[in-house]
Order: sequence, then C-alpha cells, then structure tokens
Amino acid sequence: MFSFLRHFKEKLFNKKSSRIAGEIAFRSIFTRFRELLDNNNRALEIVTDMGEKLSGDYIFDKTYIINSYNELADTVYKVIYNLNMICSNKYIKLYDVFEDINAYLKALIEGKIYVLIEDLTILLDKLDESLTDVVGSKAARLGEIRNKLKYNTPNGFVITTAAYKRFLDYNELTEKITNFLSTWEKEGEKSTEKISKEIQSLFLKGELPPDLKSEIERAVNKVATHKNVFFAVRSSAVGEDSEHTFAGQFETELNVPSDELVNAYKKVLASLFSPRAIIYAKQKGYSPLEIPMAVLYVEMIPASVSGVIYTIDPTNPSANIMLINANWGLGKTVVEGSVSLDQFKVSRTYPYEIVEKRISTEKKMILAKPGGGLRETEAPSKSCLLKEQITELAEVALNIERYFKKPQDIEWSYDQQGNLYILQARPLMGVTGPAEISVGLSVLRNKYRVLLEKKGVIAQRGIGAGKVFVVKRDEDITNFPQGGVLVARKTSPRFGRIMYKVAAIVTDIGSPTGHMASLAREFRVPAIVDTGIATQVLKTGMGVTVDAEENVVYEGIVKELLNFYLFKETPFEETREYRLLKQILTRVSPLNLTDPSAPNFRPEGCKTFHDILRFAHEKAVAELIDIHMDKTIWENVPAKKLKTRIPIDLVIIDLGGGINPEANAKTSISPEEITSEPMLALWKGLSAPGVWRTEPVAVDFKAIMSSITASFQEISGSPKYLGVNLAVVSKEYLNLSLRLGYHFNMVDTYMTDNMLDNYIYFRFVGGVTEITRRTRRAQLLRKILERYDFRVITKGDLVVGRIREISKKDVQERLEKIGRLIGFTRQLDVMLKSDKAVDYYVEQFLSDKWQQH
Amino acid sequence: MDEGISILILDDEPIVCNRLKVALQKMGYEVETYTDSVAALQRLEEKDFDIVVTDLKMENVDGIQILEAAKKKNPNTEVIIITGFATSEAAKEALKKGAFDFIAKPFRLEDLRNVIIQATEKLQKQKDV
Repeated sequence: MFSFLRHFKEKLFNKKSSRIAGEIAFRSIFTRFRELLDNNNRALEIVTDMGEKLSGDYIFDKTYIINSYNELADTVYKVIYNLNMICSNKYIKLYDVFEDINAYLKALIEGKIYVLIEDLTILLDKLDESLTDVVGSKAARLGEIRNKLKYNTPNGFVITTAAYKRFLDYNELTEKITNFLSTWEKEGEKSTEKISKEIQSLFLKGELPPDLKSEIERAVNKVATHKNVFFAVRSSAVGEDSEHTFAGQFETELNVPSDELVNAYKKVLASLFSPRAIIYAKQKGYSPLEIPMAVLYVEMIPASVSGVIYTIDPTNPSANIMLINANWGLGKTVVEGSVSLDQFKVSRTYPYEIVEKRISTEKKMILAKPGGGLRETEAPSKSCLLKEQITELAEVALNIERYFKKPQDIEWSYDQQGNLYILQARPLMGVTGPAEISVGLSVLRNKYRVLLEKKGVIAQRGIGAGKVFVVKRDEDITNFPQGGVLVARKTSPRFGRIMYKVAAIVTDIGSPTGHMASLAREFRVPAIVDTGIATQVLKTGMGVTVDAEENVVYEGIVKELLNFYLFKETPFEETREYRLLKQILTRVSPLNLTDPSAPNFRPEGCKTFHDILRFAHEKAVAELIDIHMDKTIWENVPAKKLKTRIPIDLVIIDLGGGINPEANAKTSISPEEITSEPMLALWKGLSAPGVWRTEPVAVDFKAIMSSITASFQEISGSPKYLGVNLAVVSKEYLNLSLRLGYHFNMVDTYMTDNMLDNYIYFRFVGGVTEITRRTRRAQLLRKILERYDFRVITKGDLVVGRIREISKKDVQERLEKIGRLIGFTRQLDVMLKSDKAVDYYVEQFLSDKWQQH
Repeated sequence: MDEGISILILDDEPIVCNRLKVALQKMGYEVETYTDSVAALQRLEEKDFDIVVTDLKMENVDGIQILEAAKKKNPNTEVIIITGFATSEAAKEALKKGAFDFIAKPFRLEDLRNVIIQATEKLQKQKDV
C-alpha cells in the first residue's frame, strides 16, 4: 500500500502531469496533515488525562488504564501513519520505535514485564518502586530510601526476577517442581518435609547460567567499598510484605564472603519451598512457583549497635509512641529476639522524649567473624544507644513513615563511626489501629476550627499535620523544621532539598501540573496549591492539619484524621493500579526531544509516545513547507490574482474556506474577499499605511555592483525559490511565498482555537547587496523575531524563525507584525551599512517608528 | 447528619471498593464492600441498606439485578450506578428502573460524594415526612 501511494504522489507531482494534479496532491496531503493534527491532539489529551489520575483525586480501575492505553496507542499509530502518508514514508523507522515502546507497555499491562527487563542484576543506586516487579518490594523500598529520601543504606545490588526465571529455565526446574508439588497434593501434609527437601535440593544442586555468574561478579566489584567485602543476602520476593505476609519465611544470610555469594543465592531461592512457605502458599491458594523472587545483596555494615524501630507501639497503637529495640553488634539478635535487649519507648512528637526505657544488664551480642560467618560474645551492660542517637532514629523513622504512609518496621545499624544505616523498612504488620476509627467530617468541624476550605486545588492527596513554617525567601528553607507544614507564596526549585521532612504543603499560587505539584507527587507530600490566601491565614508556629483529600486546613492536630490515614487507608501509591499507571507513563509522557536541531531529533531518538508525537508534528510541518519550496507543483494551477494597491503580484490558491465562496468563479479577488484567518492577520500588517515603501531606495554604487555581479545561485539560495508570489490558504492555514526583489520569504502558519495546532514558520533568504549587509539584515530579523518569542536560527543570510503552541490571539498578533516586517525589511539591507545600524532599525521597528525612516 | 447511614458498595475491581470505602467511612458512613455480586445479593436480602453503590457490568449478577433486588427489599433504598466506558445507554435504563443517579468511571471522589450527599438528603426528607 505504501509503495502505491508513493508512486501516486510522485506521479501527481510530476511537472508533465495534468494541470490540477499538484493542487489535488496538495489537498490530499493537507487533509492528512489535518488528520495528523487531530490525532496528535487527541493523543496529548489522553496523556494529560492519564497523568491527572496519579494525583489520587480520581477513582479509576484497571479497565480505565487498559482503555486509555488502547486508545492512546491507536492514536499515536495513526499519527505515524499520517506523517508517512504526508512524506512518502520518509519516517518508516517510526513504526519500529512505536513497536518497541508498545511492546513494553503491553508487557506491563499483561503483567509480563520481566520478559522485557532482562537485566540480571541492578544496582541499589538505580532502584525505585517502579521496578518492584523486577526487584521485589524489599529492594525497591530500600532503593526509595537511598535514592529519594537520601538516607544511608549499605551499598548493594539485586539479582532480579528475570535472573530467577533464567535460573529455573537453565536447570529445567519448573516442570520438576510442578511434579513434586502435585505429588505433595496427592500425598498430603505428611510428606511436606520430604517434598520440601527434594525441591530445595534441586535449587542447591542447580547451576547458575554463566552470564548470571559473571554479572554477579561485576556487580560485586562495582559496589564493594574495599577488598574482602562481606554481604547480607536477603530475599526480596514480589508481593512480600504487601499483598502476602511472607514475613520471615524466606532466608536471610549474613556476613557472606564473596566466594559464597552464589551458594547464598541458591539458599535464598530454595527458601521459597521451605515446609512453612509451601503450606502458607497452599492456604492462600497460590503456587510458590508463581512468586517471582529477587535477591538483595547489601554490604555488611560492621555495626556497633543495631536494632529495630516500630513507628507505632503495636500493643498500644493510639499512644503516640514509637518502640525501639536495640543491642550491641549485628541486628540478628534483635530480629530473632534471641537475647535480652534494650528497649526504649519514645514519643512520636518532637523532641521525641524517652517515655520509658529498659536497659538489659546481661547482654550478648553477635559480631561478624573476619573470615565470614558469625560469633556470639559478651556485650557491655550499659545502654547501647545515646540520647542523640534515639532522636536521630525517631526523626528518620517518622520521615520514612510519612513517605510510605504506613506505620513502619525498620531495621537499622550504627557503624563504628556512629553513622546510621537503614537496612530495610516495611509496613508494620498486624496493627489494626485504635477502635474509634470512623471519623465523620461533620463531627470534626465541631471540634476543630476550619482555617481554609476549598480554597485551592489538590496537587497531591493525603493528610499531614505539623507546625506551619512560612517560607518567604529561599534562605528560609535552611531552618525548615522536621515534619513542618510548608506554607509559601509560590514554589521554588530549592524546595526539593527539604521535601523529605515536609508533612504537607499549602501555597498561594500554583497549579496541579506545576513544579510544586510534581515535587509533592514525587515525595508523596499532601499538597494544596493556589489557595490565594495561605500565607495570610497560616502563620509560622501554628499547629495545623492539612486534609488534602477534602481540601480543608484545620487548626490544631486532628488526631482522628491522622490515625485514620495511618491505619485505615492503603496508600494509593501502593496499589497495583497506581504503580501500573505510573510505569506506563514513564514510556508515555516525558518529552526528551525538545530541540529539533539536536542530533537526537530523529526516529531512533524517540523514547516515549510524547517524543513520537513531537517528532511527527515537527516533521509534518517541515514537509508542508518543503512542498511549497517546490514551485513546480503550482505551475498551471488555477489561482486567483489579488487586486491591491500594493505592487505585490500575489496569487492565491484556496484549499477550502480561505476565500469567500461568492468569489469562486472570479479570476481575481480583492483583499475583502479573503476569509483565511491567518492570511487576514498577515495582510492587516502588510497593508497598513506606510508599511509598503513604494519609492525606490537609493542604492549606493557598491550595492549595485554587487547585485549585478552576484551569481544567480548566490542571490536566491536556490533556483527553485524563483516563482510567483503565492499564498496557499485555507480557513486556518496560510503558506505565503514571496519573491520580492532578490530575496525570498516564506511564512507557513496554522491558526486555530486549539493552541496545540498553532505554529508560525518564518523563512527569509537572499537580498540585493553583498553578503555582509545581507547578514546584517538576517541579524536584524533575528533580533526582532526573538522579541516576539520566536526560536531563530540564522546561517549567513538565511533566517528561520519558529514558534509553536501559542494561542490564536498570539498567532494573530505575530502575523500582523510579520506583515509589517516583510514591508519593513524589503530593501533594508541597502541601508544596513554598519552593525550599529542593525540595532537602530530594530528599535525603529519595535517602537513603531518604521513609517518615518 | 451522616450518622447511621449504611452504604453497600459493589464493584468487581477491589481498588474501587477499597478507595470508596475509606473515603465514605471518613465522612462517617457505615460501609460494607463486595467484589462478588452474588455475595452482595445475599447480603442485600439480609439487611436493609440506605444507599447501594453498584457497578453495572459484572459477572453473574449485573447492576440492574442488584438495583431491582435492593428496591424490592426496601423501596426507600437509593441505588447509585457506576458505569464503565460506553455503557451510558444501560445507565439511562437503570435510571428508568429507579436508580437515584449514575456516575461514569473514572470519576473524582468529589463527584461520588456529592451524589451520596444528595441521596442522603433525599433519605432524610423522606424520614422527616
């Protein structure tokens, strides 16, 4: 089909073909162009719509995601098709790029992403929650803590679920395991131990694929801070700690030397099939084979003190207390509860007072042995934590809780130098929260004063409470308190640095798609923007509760709401649907191709659907302009002469709606009969009194000599620029090609009510004088166009100015200016005797004095 | 004002149930959720709910059947229909059969809340009469 069309177009554009062929071909291309614009707009609408859903303000389900994706993919495909129809399949490569992105998105939706992310290992530095299906929840969360919240974690890497699948395939384990499991089904629980042992030995005897082995070695070399590094090896199953409570079922190996890493890997995998694990899986109704297992390797921290902090006391959830269990040495003793420990109960409110402490006097600790393995030894009997360390722990733990929006169970260590490391964090299981959970908003209103209500726009949902801190100047942010409520007139790029400790945000100015909103979303901080009066109502030091769900700010700390959010709500960010939508959007909405002159502005440079749309739009416009460059198309096409007092010899070809229908039969029309909106705008400027200088400019001798001797090529840039002065118009489109004297000028523009469609392309080349003066005119044009926000490229005497995505009114105003500019510059190069003259005339034009010179 | 009002939510997508439950509980309603329409139907036979929010298209029992069952059990029960894409014709059908209102997915929490508040006000008026 494509080759037929190409043939069709070539035939039509052939000079010798029928007289109206060019016009027909252009009409059909123009129709495609308009289709492309429509599809482009629809696609961008869908992208925006999907992005909005991430704020949490909408209820949507997987069906919504699937439908949106389907329509989007379909529309983007049509854009590519339209583009290739316009330009004889010049960008066929875009189809491949589309397919690559689309395959990824499809895999995401079908839940088969591990098929596509083939990395066998990924460094902890690169992890975030979007990779949960590839690296498991534990590793993904640790990645968030390290990379987003910027807390210390040990260096490390993950062996992915893709590697696990490779391991199973390489050793042909799936079938063998399935057989064992079905035997177990038949024989019942009496054979549990035996079957578990059989399956586990399959793992332990299994071989790692050679590339996986070398990948692990490479990862170890990358993360190891010194020779002789030891690792903690932990399971990180997909769904662990969230959908399923596998807690403690899978193996963790501590202080593993580098030559034992492969065995440790196999041991952790095998723990998927421990007796406990397979029974649990059976009770929950799934096969252990369905669980994708990743394994997290982190460097052992030579800990002096370790422990666990619960951000809520599980036995007394409403008590506003955190619980710290700690011991000297490695954390194993604390996790296993095998020896007596120090326990601290600490207030959840700054300055985190110690409410209760129990110091064990008979402590034993576990330390790492220099050659690997562990040893138990006596420990000092004094408190293992200092007051400052307790404060630091409390602060960090609350920030992590705020980020993950659930009470947390966090493992940590202090190294010999007193640096705090977070080893893992997960939601605290089995806490149901205080009984009186149902809130009743009307009840709250009686109890707490409402400071702001429905004043702004919710940028990120959630509830946050704390002391107000009004940031007036950027310098203020250095004093921003832990867990404060950030109140500001508007956003600042510097807020990013303190986001981790912000409880909520309220601003006077802002939009849900602005910078503040994306920061809030990234750090999951509840945010209300654009309230208009936040800085007047909320003063530094006031205790407030921001309910960025109902769009209300209360005076005081509303415990009912805070408890509600901590215990009741599954954070929206942890739902599968949110994660899926977010992952899809990573290949849909970012725009990488912003500069059409950059080397990556080509099909292969497109990383997202948005890139494809941007690329296609740019190239479609370029193609339209190119067609006009080829004047042979318009030879013998029936056109109408424009009757005007200006000596411009302009003919008009109407593609539809550009000329009053009553003038259809005429061979010449007057300007009043033009109905093309962009043409009217430009004509208004071009025909304004005083713009069109009719008296000949006094050409000095040097200029005349130059115009006589300059070769044809040099003057016009290219012979194909020579032709009539032609305007191809429709209701909303104009392409104007002017050959005035010895320069060539083209304006190509689209002007509708939809901002996304609109653009102006301005091109100017040539002139009557020698190159220096012509270059000066190029400089003059550049300076003027830039004042009107055009992006301008100049090359010698060539000037190309572009502007896009501006309102109809903005296009209109600019076209009028361009009309004036065309008249103004017509023979100006003759006068541009020095560089100073350039600035003089720029000012003349901008200050509207151009009539007088 | 909202106290003592009971709502049954039925949608086969757990995320819809979970998020609506929390949002409505926060407003002070008593909320029960179901992803299985058969189980919801059984529950409707046992208990009078003030408001029922149900998806239209589901396996086994569809939203119209739920609407009919709820109205049969207690004519005062207000039923709000959630529809997916391109099912608004069926939703209009539901209105004819006595549904209080319908709302199309995806929707803002705010939109559903407003419908619920209107339904609550209607219930209150009926009680006052």
